[in-house]
Amino acid sequence: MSHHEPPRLQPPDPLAQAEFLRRLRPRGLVAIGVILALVVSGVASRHARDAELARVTQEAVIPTVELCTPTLSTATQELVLPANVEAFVDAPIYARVNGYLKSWAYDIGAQVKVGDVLGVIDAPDLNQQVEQAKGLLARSKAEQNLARATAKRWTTLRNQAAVSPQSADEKTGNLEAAAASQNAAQANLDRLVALEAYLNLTSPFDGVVTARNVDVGALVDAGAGRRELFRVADIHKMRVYVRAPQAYAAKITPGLTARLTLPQYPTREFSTKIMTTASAIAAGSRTLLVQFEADNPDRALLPGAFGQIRISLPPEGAPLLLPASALVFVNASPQVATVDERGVVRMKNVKIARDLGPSLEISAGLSETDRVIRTPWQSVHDGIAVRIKDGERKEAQAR
Amino acid sequence: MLQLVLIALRRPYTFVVAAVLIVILGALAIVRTPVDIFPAVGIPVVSVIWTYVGLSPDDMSTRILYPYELALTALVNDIDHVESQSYNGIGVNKIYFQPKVKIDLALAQVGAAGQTVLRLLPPGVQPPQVISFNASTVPVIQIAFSSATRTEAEVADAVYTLIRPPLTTVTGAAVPFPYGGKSRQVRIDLDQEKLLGLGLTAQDVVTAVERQNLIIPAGTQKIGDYEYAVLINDAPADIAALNDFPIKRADGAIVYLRDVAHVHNGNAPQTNLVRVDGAPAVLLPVLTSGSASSLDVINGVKAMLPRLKLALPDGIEMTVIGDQSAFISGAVVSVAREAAIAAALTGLMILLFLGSWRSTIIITISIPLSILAALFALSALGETVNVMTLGGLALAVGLLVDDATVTIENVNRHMEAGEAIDDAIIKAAKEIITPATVSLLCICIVFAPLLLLGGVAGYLFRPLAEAVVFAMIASYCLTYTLVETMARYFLSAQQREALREAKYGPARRGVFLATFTRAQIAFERGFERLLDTYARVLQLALARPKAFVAMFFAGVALSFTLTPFLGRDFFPETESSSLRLHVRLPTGTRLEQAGVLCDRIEAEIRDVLPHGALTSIVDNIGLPISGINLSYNNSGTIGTNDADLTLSFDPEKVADASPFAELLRERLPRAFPGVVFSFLPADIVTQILNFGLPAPLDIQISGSKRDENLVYLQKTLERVARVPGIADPRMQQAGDLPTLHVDVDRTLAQEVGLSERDVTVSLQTMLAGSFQTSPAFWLNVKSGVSYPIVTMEPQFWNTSLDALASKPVAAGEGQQILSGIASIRRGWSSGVVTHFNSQSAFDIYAGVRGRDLGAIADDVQKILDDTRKEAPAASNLALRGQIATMRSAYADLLLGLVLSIVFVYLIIVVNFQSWLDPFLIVSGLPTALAGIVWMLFLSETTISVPALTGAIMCMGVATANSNLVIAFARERLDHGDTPLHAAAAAGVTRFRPVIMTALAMIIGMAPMALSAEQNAPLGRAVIGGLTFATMGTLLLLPVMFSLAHGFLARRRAQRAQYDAPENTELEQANVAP
Repeated sequence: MSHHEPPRLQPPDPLAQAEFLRRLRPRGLVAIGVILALVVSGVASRHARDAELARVTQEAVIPTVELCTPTLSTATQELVLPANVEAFVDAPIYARVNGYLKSWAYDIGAQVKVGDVLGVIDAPDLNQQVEQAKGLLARSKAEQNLARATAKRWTTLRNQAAVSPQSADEKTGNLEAAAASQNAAQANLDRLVALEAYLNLTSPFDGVVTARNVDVGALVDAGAGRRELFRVADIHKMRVYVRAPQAYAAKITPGLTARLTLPQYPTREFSTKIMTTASAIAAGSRTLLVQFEADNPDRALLPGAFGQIRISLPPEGAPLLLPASALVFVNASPQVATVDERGVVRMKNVKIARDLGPSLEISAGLSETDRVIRTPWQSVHDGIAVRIKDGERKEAQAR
Repeated sequence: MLQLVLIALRRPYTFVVAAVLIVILGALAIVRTPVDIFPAVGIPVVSVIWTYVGLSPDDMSTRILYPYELALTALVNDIDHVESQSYNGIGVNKIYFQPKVKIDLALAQVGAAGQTVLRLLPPGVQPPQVISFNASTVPVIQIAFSSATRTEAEVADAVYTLIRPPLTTVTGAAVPFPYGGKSRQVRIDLDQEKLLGLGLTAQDVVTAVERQNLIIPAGTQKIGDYEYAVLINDAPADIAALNDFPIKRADGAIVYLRDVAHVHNGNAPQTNLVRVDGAPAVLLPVLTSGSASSLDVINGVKAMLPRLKLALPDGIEMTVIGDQSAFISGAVVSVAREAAIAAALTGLMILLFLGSWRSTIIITISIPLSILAALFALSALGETVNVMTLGGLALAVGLLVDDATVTIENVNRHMEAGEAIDDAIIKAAKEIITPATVSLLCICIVFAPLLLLGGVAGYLFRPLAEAVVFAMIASYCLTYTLVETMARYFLSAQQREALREAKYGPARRGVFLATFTRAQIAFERGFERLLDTYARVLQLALARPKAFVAMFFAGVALSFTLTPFLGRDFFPETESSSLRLHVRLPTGTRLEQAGVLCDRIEAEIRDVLPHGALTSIVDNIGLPISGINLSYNNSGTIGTNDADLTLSFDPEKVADASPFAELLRERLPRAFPGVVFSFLPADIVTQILNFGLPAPLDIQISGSKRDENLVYLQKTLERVARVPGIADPRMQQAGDLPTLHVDVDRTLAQEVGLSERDVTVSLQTMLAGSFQTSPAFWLNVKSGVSYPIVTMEPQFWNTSLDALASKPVAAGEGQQILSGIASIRRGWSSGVVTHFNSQSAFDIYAGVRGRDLGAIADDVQKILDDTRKEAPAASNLALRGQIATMRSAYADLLLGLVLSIVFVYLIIVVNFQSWLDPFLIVSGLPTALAGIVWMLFLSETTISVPALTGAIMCMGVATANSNLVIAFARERLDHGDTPLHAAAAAGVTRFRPVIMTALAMIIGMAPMALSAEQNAPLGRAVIGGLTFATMGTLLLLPVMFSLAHGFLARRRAQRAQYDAPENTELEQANVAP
């Protein structure tokens, strides 16, 4: 096989070598040229790529921001408090006489006018007392007539000096006593007659019967502290009582309007107005009792209802409104990042007047012309160059 | 070995049977061995997941994780490091162990530590969930569920109860909780107003549920002959029945639950939203756990899906997305194909060189046999068939034919010398065995340092080294067994044929064979001319040895000046037809708003990208419901303000989506100020290499001085962002979570009869729900699934700051609202808290684009070094992530390279019994490195771990070739040739085998070098290195040999001149006794 031939190792022939070298030289030069070209192009393309990369990286460093400008705040802050709705006037009806209920005329929910008889108490013993009083009156009248006649007679006799002044004075005195006695009997009768009027339980004002706790035949005892027979409430207007925390006491002034909501009317709001406050903080709960008044034309508000009062607290002064996302805390002091005309970040310390949740009221540190970064990043600081989001830059230029 | 040769000749069936055995076992190994993309990265990680609904990240880290971390350090062995992330309500503690850990013991210790600290933690906290996985676990397939007719809660419930449990039975599958959807709960919607009206508190409702809904067995009763089970209606079977729970008696009436609340079948407040092309969906990812093969897991899941589909309620659609099986099998098949092509090309080359089909068959048959044997060995060691092992085999293909070729050539030579076949074989084997053993040792020894590699790189490259070594050993053994047996039959047949031809003239041959013979003759002629040219060049160089050596080394040295232009990567970039975009919206953005913003971002993306390229977008917005998902998560999600967008492109049209990433990097930040965009690795290769981190670069500062550390890192972020080629630098720990601080005035509260506890409990029930402190369950009797009962005010009723301020905090007489006894102020808190080794840590994550990782990391390191004094002295500042792994891998590999050269040197010292000649060989090795530099420079390939592996490989092959030349030259020298003559003779004689070996290797590597795979740099490095190394072997080495030995000869001659008398005396003295 050919490759097992012994190697050709002729002694080197200097002439042939020189010739070989001469032929090799141009090829070598070409090879070196190609190599250099490869190196140069390889290095150059890498340089170009690095330069482009550096440019792209620098470009990417500049953050794009979205701007917003502060607006004057008209926002109100809402305070929601539990409220008790009560009738404008509310009267429990008690019996003034003892007896049995003879009848009742109005059930709960009935509209009543002033003077309407709600129920009648049957009190036979009272009637007998009246009869007795009448008898007593008649008797005292008869006695008075007799005394008058006697006195007249004795006065005439005295004038004729027929009797002693003593006895004449006695008769005159008897007449006066009889008159007084008759007056007393009359008064007694009148009292009983008046009591008889209480047999009719009447409504003290126009309103609604909100309670009826008796039925026909029930024994009724006179006096307060006994059983409440009826309850009448005037609900053309309602009073709403709210206990406001002490923290809000300064802001709650008569005249403020508020909205009342009730669980039974999830979509309806009733407008109310602060009438007065207790002007004192209750020591037990550290709250201020506030009284609201609400019109109740359609009787939708019911006394005793539980509701929620939403008080809209107006802004103080004329603060600027900013989205809450614009706020940055640096060393616990609130700041916002603004962008100046050259597109560089300037941090500004601001004072937050109120936090409305999605937005903030800024009372100091910011002007209406400031351009504020809407969503700054955590480590934003002075002197960073930023790019403004495209749409807004056009707007800014137009301005 | 020679005994083996004798057996091969005398008992020829032995090794034929052995070969058959190899084929059977190898084929079995191929079928049985799991196929995967990479070798298993067996760095064990245990994740401990704590849950406490509503607990802020700051509290989670200080109240739960920190005590636990301290306990871990005392109670658990073999911890490498501990990391933890605290999210809102979830804390994830990841414990990375030393590779040598006994994971079962570690798991037991970790679990026990959790029980130990439980008493020290906030009341109501549950024992943690403990899962073990490995850090390179990535999703291999995802299944999306959506429905037009059913609610998200129903879909999620169906996936959780019907799909997930059976899927977990697929061997090796790890199935976390589904992403997206709504997790079903029994909700008790409190109506605060009604509660207040009735003078009740939320706590009363919770207590009522506790009292009315019990799971207490009543027992049994014996009546007559039977023992009756007594069942009591202590837990309602119907959700509506909960509405009828009495709470209290008031004003003669019973207050029922329905009077103050509404009980219904609902869902937990959503924190995680998944959308597939805009439609809400539930996403179930499947990961691989343990040593299972990804491909097996995917196939197992896919095989189970049709059956699972039947179990799903009507109207739920199921689609498979993110199926990685095509990618994995594609990668594996392409490497296998490269190996096959390499084998075929090598065979063809041998055929051309030898011109004998018999010899070619004998030689090439050892390729498949060696590979099969190596596969069997790898399989026996528990390795999977993967890109690395196959890459190693592909690498070895070119080497496998070496021993056999040399043997056959030698046998031929002896037979031509007229020896009988058996004698020829035995003599040939005897002659060859020493150099063959030396070159086997050389190649095996250079791979030894790869076995020492630590970290991820070690796990990846150890199997590659094993594959090469096993294949080489197999080939070596086959050479002295099967090859000899085959040679005996085939070559004697050849000899007989030759004799016949000599006697009766050439046999009649087919057209094909004739053509081939002509081609072979033409090739031989060409080769002769090449040899001739080589001989002239060699003689030219030998004539001016010093100038030549100087020029050669100058050329090599100059080549090294190109090194700085190469760049260093850990692994070459992988092309992927999908992108993963991580979107960080302003911290604290609520889920609903995040969904809206993602819609706009998607619209912008569709607008920017060319029409038709995009096939689908999958959004995964917010925090998954379970910490288990967070353990597997590698995108850095911290809350509802984070979203992962996966953009999939049509692989036909878009092979590499990275240009789109560049486009989006430019456009998106401008369109969405305040939103941070970052691209995460979409391919599983990079995800595995990133080791669970979202980016290759992680600048981390940890230490007790939190605020100073944060300020320093924020400054660093600005500086680092200017490093050319850095991509998406971002701060991971968002410290600007919008927070409302409720400061209760304790004195005032006390005055009105309230305590901090009353206020806290009221707020908790309203804002976080009752479940954490008073867990209760409702059992769905039909499905057997228990659902939590949660008492809470519906979130949509609390939509303003005023609503919070007006929250009633106590019922009854002392009715108070929150703002009456507390002030509410705006502030910030941590969106996530990270601990590294139980110290608070901050991270900057960054990727790379258009520049090599090494250079960028150097720039970053310089910034860190320059500004180190600005950071607190006690803080620990580190560059972590892929770059750290890369650095240690480079250090290991470079040390390995040096060690391999030293080892190789020592071996050949033993072989040649000389210090000088091995030195000559070793001093030629830089030539190979120069060749690698050139090749990488010209192919614009960066230095990477595969390239370095290639360099190591080159060292072995180059040494083996040089051995041949030096051995021959020494032989000639011993025969009395002059050094010059010996060198020239060695070069010319060994030209052919050296060229053959190198060419076999280069051809074998060509398919790999031309591919776009991970191992392409390896192939390129070997080709470049070997091309130059061969020049060194054939030109430089003879010249240096003649130079060195010429010098020695001259010196000896001089000494002989001076020392002649003494020498004679000495000799006489030695002889005399």
